[in-house]
Amino acid sequence: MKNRIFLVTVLAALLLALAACSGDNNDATEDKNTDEAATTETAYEPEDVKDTDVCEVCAMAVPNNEHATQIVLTNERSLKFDDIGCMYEWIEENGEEDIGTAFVRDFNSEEWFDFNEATFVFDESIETPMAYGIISFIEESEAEQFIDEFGTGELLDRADLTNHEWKMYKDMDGHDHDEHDHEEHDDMNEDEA
Amino acid sequence: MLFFVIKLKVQHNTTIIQQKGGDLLKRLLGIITFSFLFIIVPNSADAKENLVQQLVDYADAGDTVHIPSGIYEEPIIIDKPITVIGNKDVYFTINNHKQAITIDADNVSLQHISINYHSDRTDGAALVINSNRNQLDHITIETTGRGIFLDNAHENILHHITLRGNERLPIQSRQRGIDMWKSNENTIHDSTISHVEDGIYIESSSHNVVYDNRITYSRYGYHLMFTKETELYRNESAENISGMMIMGTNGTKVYENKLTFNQKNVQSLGLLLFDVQNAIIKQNKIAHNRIGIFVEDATENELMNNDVTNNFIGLQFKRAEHNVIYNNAFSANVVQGQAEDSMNNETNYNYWSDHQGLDIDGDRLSNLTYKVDPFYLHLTNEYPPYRLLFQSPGFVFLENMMHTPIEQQLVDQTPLIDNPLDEAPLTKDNNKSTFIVSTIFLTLSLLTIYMGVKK
Repeated sequence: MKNRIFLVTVLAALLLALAACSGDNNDATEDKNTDEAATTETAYEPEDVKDTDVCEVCAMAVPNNEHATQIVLTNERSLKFDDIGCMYEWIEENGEEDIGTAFVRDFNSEEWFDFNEATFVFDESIETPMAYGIISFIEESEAEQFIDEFGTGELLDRADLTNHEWKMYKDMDGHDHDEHDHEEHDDMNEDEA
Repeated sequence: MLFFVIKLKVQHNTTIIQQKGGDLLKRLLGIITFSFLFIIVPNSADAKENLVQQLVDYADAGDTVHIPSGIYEEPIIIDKPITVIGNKDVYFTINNHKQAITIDADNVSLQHISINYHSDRTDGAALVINSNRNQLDHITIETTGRGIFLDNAHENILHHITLRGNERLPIQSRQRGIDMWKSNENTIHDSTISHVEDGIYIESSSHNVVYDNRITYSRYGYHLMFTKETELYRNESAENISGMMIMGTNGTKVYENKLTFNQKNVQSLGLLLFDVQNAIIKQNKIAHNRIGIFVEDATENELMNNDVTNNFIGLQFKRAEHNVIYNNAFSANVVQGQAEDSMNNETNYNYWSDHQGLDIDGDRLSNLTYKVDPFYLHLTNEYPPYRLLFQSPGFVFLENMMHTPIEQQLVDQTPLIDNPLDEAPLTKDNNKSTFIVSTIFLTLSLLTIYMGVKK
């Protein structure tokens, strides 16, 4: 009988101790959450592109390349897009209210940075996954350099995108345009070594 | 010139060059005579390195060149209308070149060749065609890069192609199996492709026909981007991330294909129609995918007689309007359908296996309406973790409580009572055999009961 009373007492003590510990943990977690919330109010971080990511608009897999874009919502959920055109379509449809930060990647370095600070180059013949023909640069000088090297292209800033005619520049007829400078395909016959 | 003639002396014993022009004998005599004049003969390894290109260079238009058995390590360019046939065991092992074989001329036929192509260049390919009316058959390709690239190439026929990528590469690092760019009226049939990025990829092209092919273990089986009047039929796509991705197309015909077990990814699809107009999708079997058919931003398409079964979601609409969907069978899908911002689609006369139909007038059409509510999709899009509560009683309760306007729902006003794609009912013969088998079993059972208990 004595043993049983002792056992019950020990168990009760253990339970109390556990309750106390978990209470402390909860407090700690809450404190941490509050701290995080305070810091994330001003800074949203882009997520890396994962194999399972698909574009929110066109359902294509999002390749981990310079064309990938993303929106981090105010609830910190990240939406990925395979082409800046898909992202713009999403913004047109859903508005900017819930957007924490929209990110694009630099065409040369593939570094994520704020969509609002980018310089863009547009040309129908620039190959992008959904044929919107727009690429992004951190530095305006690099955008200009691209236009020089590519031979054609229109320099745009964030404000210009509002008036830009957003559409997929598709060509279904399969006839090559003389002016089309297809970066991947054109030099196919040159090299043999 | 001198060197060239010497080399041909080495080759002519093992190679047959048939010339349609008729001066073959004269040419052979010339070669033999000249070759005996020289004592210096290049070693056989050097000769073999350039053998195939020399055979091609030496042939005239219309000739047939037979390549002797062997392993060749130099790329070749075919720039005249000839037939090139590989004898048994002809292998091109090509490392770090832009391409292994290039077909520059029209009317070339290439047969019975194996290519082993190692290159991680994104602008290369094992076989490149940039000309018209060529034929490739019985070509086997193993590649770490792109397989076959048709660049502004028209009216070519590719058949019995076996193409395999590198399964050890992650899908993001693989390249396309057969890639068409601005190429019209080509045909691909009876080919097998596996372990690549997209099995058959067609962009900015029109009037291509793809049939009787099988693509497995790749990212997308068949991928159309901005094409017109493409025809895909009797193809199979299995164990890929997605079966068929049809995007930005007009006038596509997709029929009698089997798109099954495309569920390698949380976003896997059987068939995607994105920004598609005037497509006809009929008599396809779409089974065991994550989403069977996903119709997004698509208008004026017709989907009929498709068997959509055992998918997680059978049919999903997103911003799809003015499509006609009838006589399809949606059975045993976890969710038969989902619809979001989709209006003015005609979705009557389909069979929904979970529909509790009621046929009052005996016309085999249910007098009760079948509705697909977008509530679940709306909510899980906003809060993905709610997917865990899929079809929980609370969710069903909420769905009934939160009324979605009828114009945003997918509604079948006249669902079919019977599955239109079911096998024909048992014939009289089948009935008879069933009766005989049953009688035998019954007799045996009775005999066992009465005789088995006797001692």
